[in-house]
Amino acid sequence: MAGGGDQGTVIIPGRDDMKKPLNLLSAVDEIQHTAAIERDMLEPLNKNFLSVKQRLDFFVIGFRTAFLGGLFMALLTPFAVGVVEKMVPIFGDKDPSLFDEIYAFFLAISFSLGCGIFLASLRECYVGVVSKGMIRNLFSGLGLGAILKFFIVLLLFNYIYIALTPTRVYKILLFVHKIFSHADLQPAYNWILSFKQVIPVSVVLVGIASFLLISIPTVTLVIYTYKNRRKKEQFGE
Amino acid sequence: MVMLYSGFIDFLNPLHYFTAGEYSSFWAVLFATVFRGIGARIISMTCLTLAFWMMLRRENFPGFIVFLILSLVFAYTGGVLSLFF
Repeated sequence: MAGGGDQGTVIIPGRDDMKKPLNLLSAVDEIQHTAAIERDMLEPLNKNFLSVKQRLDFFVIGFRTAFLGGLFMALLTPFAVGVVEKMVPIFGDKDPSLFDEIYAFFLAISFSLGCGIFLASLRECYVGVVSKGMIRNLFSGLGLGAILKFFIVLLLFNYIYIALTPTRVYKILLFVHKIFSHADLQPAYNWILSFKQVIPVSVVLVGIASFLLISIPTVTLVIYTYKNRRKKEQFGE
Repeated sequence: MVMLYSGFIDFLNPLHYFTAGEYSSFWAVLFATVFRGIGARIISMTCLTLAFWMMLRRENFPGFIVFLILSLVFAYTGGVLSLFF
């Protein structure tokens, strides 16, 4: 039971208030809604109000966002490094300026950066037992998804790096030549072998992006909680 | 019926109103402006700015994804096109 503020409204949260979140947006919406109710409560909700299934739902959403979204952006990372190494044209220009190189790098990490900042906005919802549980599960899924994505990229990219030997590239292009018999594949051969060199840097860049995705919301949450605790202590004194 | 259909196709066909040269040069200029050089830089940066504005101000995650993809498209399509043309 909750005192609903100025007008003396009483809000009784029930099972029907909790909807199954389908994506990141609805999960955030659910957390904000629950936090708004919990903020005005006279007594805290029972922690079992958030069932195991609901915890898992939030975990899965966090995991899916970090894993699938991150994997898509991770596959674009070699192109960003390729721009810096002058192998991939950006804005149709094969000789990029310093601005273009910085922009390509920023584009590669923008998903992690944006997603991290968006989730950091949940710091104000870290108030009651239930909303804390939701946020913790969402962030746990996010962290696990980002770490798993990084390890898959680590294995995949390094496998590609090892697998792309000159002999193998030659055999692949020989097969392509059977389909496109008039195509000049010598530039493609040279490009593939030189593009291979960007893979190790790309792995590191994906690692940095994954770290940003986990650390931005987590660190913000920790700082906000710490500041709140300090405020409460000062207010209590 | 066939005449009517043929007239309708002519009505829809841009080459009915422009010459082939004008039509292809229009698209060539458009591609060169939108996907290459300063035009591509401006559009891509605008899309990326809108993506972060959607995320930070509007808290609109789908909007963020849409504008992020658009900024990627405007950044890299020029390079992809230059491989073929």
